[in-house]
Amino acid sequence: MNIIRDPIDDMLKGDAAQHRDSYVDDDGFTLRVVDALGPRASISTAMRFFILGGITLVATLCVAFLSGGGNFLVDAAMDIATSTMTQAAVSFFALVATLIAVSIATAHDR
Amino acid sequence: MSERKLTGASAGYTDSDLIGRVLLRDDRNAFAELVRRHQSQLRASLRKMTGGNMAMSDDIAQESFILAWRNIKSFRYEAKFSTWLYRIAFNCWQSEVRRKHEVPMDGNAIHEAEVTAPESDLTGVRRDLLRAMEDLNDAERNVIVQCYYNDLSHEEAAYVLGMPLGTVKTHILKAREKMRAKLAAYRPHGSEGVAA
Repeated sequence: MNIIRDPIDDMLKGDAAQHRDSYVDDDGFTLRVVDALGPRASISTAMRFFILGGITLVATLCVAFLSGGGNFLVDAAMDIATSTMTQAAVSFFALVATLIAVSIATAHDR
Repeated sequence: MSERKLTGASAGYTDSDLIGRVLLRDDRNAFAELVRRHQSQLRASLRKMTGGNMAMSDDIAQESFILAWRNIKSFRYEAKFSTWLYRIAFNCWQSEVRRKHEVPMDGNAIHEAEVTAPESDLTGVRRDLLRAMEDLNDAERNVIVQCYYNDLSHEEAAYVLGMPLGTVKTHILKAREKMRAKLAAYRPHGSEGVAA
């Protein structure tokens, strides 16, 4: 029985065996890695997104409920358009600021 | 580097035990033991992928271990820890190459790699083998590194490189064909039909 041997395969296997036998000295590498380790993510990015989104939704509903139900956004838009700084306008700015903060936090996590 | 030493109490544990300790207790000593165990093979493998660029390969290795630490929760034991590490390292290497917009392995890189090794360590055949690898494209070279130098199966290489199994096999065949053409002078007489 004839076996076809590939000399390239043999050369690569020989060189790879030599490569695996050689040891790369640690030389402080492990310490550098351990020093650079940050805190491990305790919750996943998706979970964090849902928590932040949930808090934002609840906060929005609270603000809408406490400031006159569905008219909150209309009132706020009218007040801002007429440069009147009412409670609705302040709440609207707070809502926008919260949404921006959530977006930045989510983008940063990714 | 400081004289500070990490405790070696974790040395007798398996990789799975150490991963469990990291997951349960955020045990940095356990993770340090994982780093100590796998750093040599990972750094050597990256040196092959970067054509001997030691600074780049060590940076990528460090980044890979840090990512492994952060995402160890996503390790599902579907592969060996080392294979999972190779996958992270390959992704880091790809990002680095994209970021730098350069092909990491060129003639200069090979020369740099050779300069770091004592002249006597490099036989003529080995030197020519390295030069033959220069002619391979990134995908072919990566498949050769994973399958030969990291001793992975074709399936494991497909997992690490994120490519279909058939593509891995095709790249291996093409890579060997290119290297055969380059190293034709080393084909020993009678090697094409050796009686078993």
